[in-house]
Amino acid sequence: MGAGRADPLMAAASFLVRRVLATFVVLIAVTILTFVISHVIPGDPAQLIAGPRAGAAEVAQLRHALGLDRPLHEQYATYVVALLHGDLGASIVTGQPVLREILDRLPATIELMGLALLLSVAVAVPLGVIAAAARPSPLDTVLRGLSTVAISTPRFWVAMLLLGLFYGALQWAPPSGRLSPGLTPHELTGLLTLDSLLRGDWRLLRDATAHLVLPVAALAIGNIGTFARIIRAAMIEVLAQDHIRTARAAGISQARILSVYALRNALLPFVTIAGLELAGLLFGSVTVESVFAWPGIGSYLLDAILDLNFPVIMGVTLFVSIGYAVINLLIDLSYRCIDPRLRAPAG
Amino acid sequence: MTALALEVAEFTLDVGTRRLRALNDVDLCVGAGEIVGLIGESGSGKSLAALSIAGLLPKATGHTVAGAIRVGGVEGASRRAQVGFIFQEPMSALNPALRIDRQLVDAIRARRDADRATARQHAATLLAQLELPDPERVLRSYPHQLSGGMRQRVVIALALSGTPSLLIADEPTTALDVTVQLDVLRLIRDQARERNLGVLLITHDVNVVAYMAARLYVMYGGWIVEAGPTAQVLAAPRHPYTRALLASRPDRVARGAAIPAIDGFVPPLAAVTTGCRFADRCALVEARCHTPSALTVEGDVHIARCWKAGAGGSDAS
Repeated sequence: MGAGRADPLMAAASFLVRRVLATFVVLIAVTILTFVISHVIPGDPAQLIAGPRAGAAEVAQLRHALGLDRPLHEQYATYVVALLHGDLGASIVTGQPVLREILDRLPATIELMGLALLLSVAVAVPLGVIAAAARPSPLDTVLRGLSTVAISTPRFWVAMLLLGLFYGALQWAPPSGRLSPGLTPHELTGLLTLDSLLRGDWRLLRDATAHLVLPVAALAIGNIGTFARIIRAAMIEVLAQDHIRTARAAGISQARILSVYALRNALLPFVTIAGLELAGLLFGSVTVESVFAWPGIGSYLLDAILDLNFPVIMGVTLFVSIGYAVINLLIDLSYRCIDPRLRAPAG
Repeated sequence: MTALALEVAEFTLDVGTRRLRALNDVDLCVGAGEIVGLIGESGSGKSLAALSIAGLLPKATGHTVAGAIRVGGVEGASRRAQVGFIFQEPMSALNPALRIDRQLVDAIRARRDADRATARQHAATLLAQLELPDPERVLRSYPHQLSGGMRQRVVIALALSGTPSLLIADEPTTALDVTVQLDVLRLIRDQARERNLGVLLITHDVNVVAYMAARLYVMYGGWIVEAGPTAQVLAAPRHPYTRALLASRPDRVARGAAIPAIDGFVPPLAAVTTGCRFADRCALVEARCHTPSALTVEGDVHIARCWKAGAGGSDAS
């Protein structure tokens, strides 16, 4: 109730401005890092483009044409100016602008990761809550065992297992890609399930969903384990707090205590760690997309690495960094929704 | 004879996997509209006794009980609805993530059939009765937006929301500013009188008991060692432990003089003792104190669990 209490709206706005500025600093650092790394790594792009049979003069000419003979800081300036114009360079392999290739493949990855994230949260939160509430019990032990197995199993291996079992042995799932041959997607958002829903195209929806099941499961299983453990730990901590005893004393039902009184307070540590786990999900998508020939950013990056396709590697790195920074910004903002104490200073 | 708000008869509690005896043969009662003090130092078992009465003992550690607890004439698990609990720490006793109205409305609806609007109306009335200015604003607030005294009033409102027969107040003012301590105590006393509630006031502060309670129990090492009318017990304590406890009140010691402390410490639960738990720290100890039969209760109104009850009692405080 102090006199100098700031307007909550102003406080939120200044918080937002500060966080966005901080995000920009991070992104500038990322451009420097990707730029330096790509120029320090052995291997000469000019040599690569010109091919192994090219003569030294030819390579030098190409190097000059690409601007690779200029000082590093000049090259970096050119790179940043191009970036600001939305120019991420052209793929060495296809000659297409990197930005367009990324944007073409982005919806596939967003759909895959979004659904994997949704699925893992939807399964992990109840699991973690039950594990914390049922402690100590055989159920808790079983859940802990399952999540340990899920955490310690590499995603690509899960992906190959799933593919081998449900496509190879049982023939229940389609093998790979986003759609069966012969079907054409509706061009709206690029998220096939959403687009077909909006257009009411049930056949396409079923086909797209069938293609999603295995890669989504392969990505989500590891996260379910991690998320369930985080929720369990956070819930155990919250359940030991005084206010839970108050709620019990007031006669509030166990179900409500778990789902509202405790979970609300357990969400903060969960969101923090879950946000960090998204990096793991991104990594996972690289291998999982490759196993399922999923035409997203992950498989694109893997191909680029194998081809030493530097413009693509740099472009994807930058893009992923932006995505990661934006997600972290959203997480920081979500704290204020979850924990009222962060919204306005106490009186 | 008036109906009893609380009756505890020969209640014994063993806790943990090693089944350590935490409460021994506890007998206590609180009449309707009566305020009764329960004092003792940390580890004496007074908070465990309170949690036992409210049916709030944590399940995880495991415990076994014997004896009977009746609140407002109700026994068994359903007695929980008869108990309102006021906790020590008003900041941590309220859920930091939920608005006050959510917490109060949920508590009201947990104990009676009411729709949200009716329950919210009732919540506002309760807060007004507890002398909270602008109940609507309080209802819309989160706990961190309220002062300590306001929060403790909300905690009291939560305790009263279920229309209990018994209020248990566990150190209700320890965490508060001195200026609001008296307000909160007075509020508890007035509410008890108006609602004809029994109050079990748990504290280590003799002054609080002297101000509030007509009768008092003294606990030590899981035993009730002395019981009687507050004025009598404070004026002429009969158990050596009570005498030592009263002598160590800082406000009763002359300025500059050393505060007499009780040597030693409360024996841990695991310590196997027969006879009186206080024997190891007692100045009057003799051989028979170490035999189980030493645990006698003497007197009618003012009783003490000691062979020497009354002996040398006149020199106390």
